Amino acid sequence: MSQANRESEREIERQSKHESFKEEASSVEQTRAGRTYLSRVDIVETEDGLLLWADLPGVDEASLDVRVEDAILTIAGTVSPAGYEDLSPLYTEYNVGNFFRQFRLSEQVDQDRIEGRVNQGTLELSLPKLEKAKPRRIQISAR
Amino acid sequence: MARTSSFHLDPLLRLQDQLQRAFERPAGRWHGLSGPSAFPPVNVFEGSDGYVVKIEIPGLSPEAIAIESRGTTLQVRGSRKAPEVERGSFHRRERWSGEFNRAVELPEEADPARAEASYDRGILVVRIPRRAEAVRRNIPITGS
Repeated sequence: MSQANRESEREIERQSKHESFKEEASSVEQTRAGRTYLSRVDIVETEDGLLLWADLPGVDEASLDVRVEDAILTIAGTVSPAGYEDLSPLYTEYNVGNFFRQFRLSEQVDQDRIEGRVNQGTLELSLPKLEKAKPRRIQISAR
Repeated sequence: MARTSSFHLDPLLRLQDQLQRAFERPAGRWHGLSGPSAFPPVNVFEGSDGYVVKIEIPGLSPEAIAIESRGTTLQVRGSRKAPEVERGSFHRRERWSGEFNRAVELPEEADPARAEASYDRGILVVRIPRRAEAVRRNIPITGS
């Protein structure tokens, strides 16, 4: 895999405040008070494009905002504090918060054809490459 | 400041604050048998009807999760597969994958035999009622 391919997406902002499984986003990314977490992602590149999986537990379709602006892919999800009424914590391993993540997309990605769906708090995005950015096999003919 | 006054009004901020305080409380780190950095992370709450266990475990189908109880121990098992893509290469691999097995020791008053579970938005919620004999009752007093 060439270096150029690995540059198909670059992370915009990254910071480190670890809990066991969640990393808080830096304050730059936050427009509101409270904790915002970085969504953990898997990104795979194929010949046709990029496939991205982002974990956003507690976020559904309606509370998810995925957008591309100036080649920057933004994934933002809000969680609801509903379902915690009258509960007091006895033992905790994670905190609850909104999610955020940003990547700069390379020119190879066809921004108009990005598609996604959410399945049980995991976003699955498909980011196809522009036709001209796909690898092509050159036909060699024998003389 | 406006931020200070809004702090107590926003239910999400209030929840975050409450969870953070539970984190920092040594007694709050009680019963997770398999240790706090194991996947998936578990929170245990007490409510008026009993106990509620919430586990963040996104991207599965409900059939991929098995919950069992023995005595007052609740066990959650399953597996989460890494993405399988033919002829692709990983640029990033941050999501947890593999087999998981977490055991949560519940208080004596819990009755896991009557527990109910749901899975929505990647969060597993198990509700465990209190044992009948542990439910607080008002005892009427008759006058003479």
